[in-house]
Amino acid sequence: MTNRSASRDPVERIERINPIVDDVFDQADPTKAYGQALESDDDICPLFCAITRIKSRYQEPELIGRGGMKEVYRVYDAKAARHAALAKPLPEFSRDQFDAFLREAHLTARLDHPNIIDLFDMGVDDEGRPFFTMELKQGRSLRGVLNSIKNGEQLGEFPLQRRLEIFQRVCDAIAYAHSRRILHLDIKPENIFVGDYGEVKVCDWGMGVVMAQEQGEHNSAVLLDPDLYGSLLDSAKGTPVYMAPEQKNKRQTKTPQMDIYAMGCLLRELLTLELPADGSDTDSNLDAALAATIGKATARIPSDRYQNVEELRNDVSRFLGGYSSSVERLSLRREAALFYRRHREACAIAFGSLAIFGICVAYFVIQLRLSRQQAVEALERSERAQAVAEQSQAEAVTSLAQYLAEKEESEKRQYQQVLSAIDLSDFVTDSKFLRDEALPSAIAHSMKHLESILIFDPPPDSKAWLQKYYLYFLTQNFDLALELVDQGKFIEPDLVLLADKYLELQDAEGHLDTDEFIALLRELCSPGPGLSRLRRGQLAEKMLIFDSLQRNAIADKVRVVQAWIEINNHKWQNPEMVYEANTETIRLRGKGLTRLARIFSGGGPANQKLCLVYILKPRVLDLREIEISRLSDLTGLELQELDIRQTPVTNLLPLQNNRSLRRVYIDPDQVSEFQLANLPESIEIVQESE
Amino acid sequence: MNNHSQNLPTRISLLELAQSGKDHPAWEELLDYYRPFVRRILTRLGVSASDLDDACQLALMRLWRDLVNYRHQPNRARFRTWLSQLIHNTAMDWHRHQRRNNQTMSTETKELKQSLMCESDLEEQIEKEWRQHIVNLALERLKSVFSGDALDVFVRSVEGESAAQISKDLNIREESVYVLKHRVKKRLILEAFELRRELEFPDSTP
Repeated sequence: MTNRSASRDPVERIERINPIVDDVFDQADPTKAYGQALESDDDICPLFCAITRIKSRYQEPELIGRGGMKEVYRVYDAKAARHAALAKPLPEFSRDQFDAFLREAHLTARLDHPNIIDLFDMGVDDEGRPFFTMELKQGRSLRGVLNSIKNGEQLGEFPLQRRLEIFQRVCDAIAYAHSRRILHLDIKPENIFVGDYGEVKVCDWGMGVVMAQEQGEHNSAVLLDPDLYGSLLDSAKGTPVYMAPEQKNKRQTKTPQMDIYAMGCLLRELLTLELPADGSDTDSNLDAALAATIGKATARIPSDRYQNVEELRNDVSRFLGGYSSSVERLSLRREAALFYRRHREACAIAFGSLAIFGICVAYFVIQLRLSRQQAVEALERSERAQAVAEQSQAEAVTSLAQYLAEKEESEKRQYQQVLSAIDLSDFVTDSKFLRDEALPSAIAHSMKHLESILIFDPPPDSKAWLQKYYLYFLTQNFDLALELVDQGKFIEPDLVLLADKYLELQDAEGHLDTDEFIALLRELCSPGPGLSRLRRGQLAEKMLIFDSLQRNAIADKVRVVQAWIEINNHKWQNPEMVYEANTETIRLRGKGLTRLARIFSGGGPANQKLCLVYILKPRVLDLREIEISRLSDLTGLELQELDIRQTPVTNLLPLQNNRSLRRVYIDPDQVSEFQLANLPESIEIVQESE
Repeated sequence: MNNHSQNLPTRISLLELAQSGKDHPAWEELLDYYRPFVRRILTRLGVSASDLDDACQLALMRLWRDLVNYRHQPNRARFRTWLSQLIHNTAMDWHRHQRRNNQTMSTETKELKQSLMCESDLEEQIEKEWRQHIVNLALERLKSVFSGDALDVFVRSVEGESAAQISKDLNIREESVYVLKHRVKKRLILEAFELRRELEFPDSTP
């Protein structure tokens, strides 16, 4: 307060609250005894005020249990604002038994362990009777749990593992108590509390005793002097089945082995869920390790039992952890089983992996065998199939061959039909064997025959079509011929062009005039632009003959014949040809006229060529001074007189079989005597020089 | 200091303890409480700052000496009247002493006389100072009880600030503002009550 700076803030504040200073000061007048009202004001410390006002701390008692020496109530602790368990001595107990009651409270208070019930408070109530309070938890006794398990209600909630854990908690509590030299002496499921959240609390230390002091140790808690706290209450009894045999002797010094016996009984009941039958070991169903543990804990002679609770606990832990307990006779099988229990996950994984591996191997082996079998079968099948295939292929080949043979046969047949038709056609139209008048009917016959072949519609490249075209062309039916072209038949292109060209030039009746016909002949025999172009001498010859039947004017015929001769003798100079109709005489003059048969091949053999002047049918042929050398050129003529003077002809043999010839004019010495001698007698040889 | 509420009616005040003997340890505490008050009064009575410590010491010495006697005449006068006379006399004596030491200070004497003339005014002023002193001490004690925010809430609300504004400024819920205001004032009165009980003799006249 001497420090001005420290009080600066309040000074400022005091100035700020100046208006109420007098009011505050007056209200704080001690003489008005206002302070009392201030102190009891709940606004400042309501909780404190409430607690100071509490007269009865434990309220709303509700009896929840009654033991051999005390009653337990559920009460509300108004000061601590919680519920607690309040124990009172039984009403029939009087003052000389109160100490025994309080002794339990002191024992419990001395034990500070999570698995031992906590003491809160103890004292003397308004009626002058002692009481103490303990923690109160939600839950029930282990007895209740065991009963409900036995009824099959909570087996899932309390499996063996869980029950053994509870047992371990009890071991912890008892071990701790023993370390504090306190024996419980009434361990049983009724005295073990199991909370809803896993808490395990050992209660009811009313039978408990403090062990006698051993030498060398000192106990600071004089209140727990065994002389004072020996079991004063002989009337209270332990539960017979859990009580060690020696405990029935009241004078017997109390030892930890008594608790251990009870623990053994507890363990047995936790496992079998049955109250231990006196003296009989019904552990046949139990795990060997646990049975051995129980056997050791409940041995009749105390010195045979576990020396302390820790050992018992350790054995149970080893069982839970999967190790063999210390009391167990070991076998390999047992160790293996325990090993499995210890390393459950690892073993499960290992065995699982092994099993999966095994299954996989088996599966693959089976698959392998199956696939091998399948492969063998498939091989057999394929061999069979191959055999069948080969057989059928062979059959197919055979039949194909047959088919081909048949086809070939039929084609051959057809071809031969075509050929024969063509041959026939050629044959029947061959001018050499025909009389002029017969040609049209021969053509018609040939056409008819061809049609009968063409009914079978041979391929477009068949010669039959071409033959038909020839016939049309020959008869100057260019329009019909071109129809074949339009139908896509294979026709020689030069003929197509010619047909096309001369169709235009035909008159209304389908005739060409003389000049045009001559032009057509020339074109047929002229060498075309292409080498392949034929000089169609035979066709031209046939056309010439056919045309001559149509062409009546003799002058036209003469012109055509002269043209025809010129076509075949392109070196003919100063051509002169005279036809005397009354004598049917043809007179030919001029240099360079060497042949009277067509020089262009086409179709048949050369000897089938007709004489160039055939269509005029001369009876007298005057060939003087022309350069013709072969009389075979005169084929087809029915001459009566022949003049071959001043010609190079030396051979008269072609005349040998001539029946019509009556007279031949030759130069002297033109032919040999021998030849003359062989001539028929009907022929008169006139040898005279001009 | 705060744990004596339970047996309040029977408790002996600090003043009474100090009265019981001149060597009682309560004296030290008592004088600590009185010293700031006495200094302020002496200042009002014209004691210069340089002389204040000495004059205060003198006044407290007299208080220490005379307090025992005061007890013997309990109902004579109000304690504060007695106290103010004591301080006043001390101041007078101090001034006289000063005058003797320094004859030349005539003007000062005049002023002093003026200030000393109106004794009734002085008592009134002393009363006012005492009230402020007690409330201030109480406020000081509250610092150890309440947070600074709580005190601020109280002060601001005394100044007339609205609960909503305080709530917003100090980031406290509005209901808390009401509760704090109420609690601080209650506690302030309680502390003032304690201080008065410790440091005053109850006045006989109501």
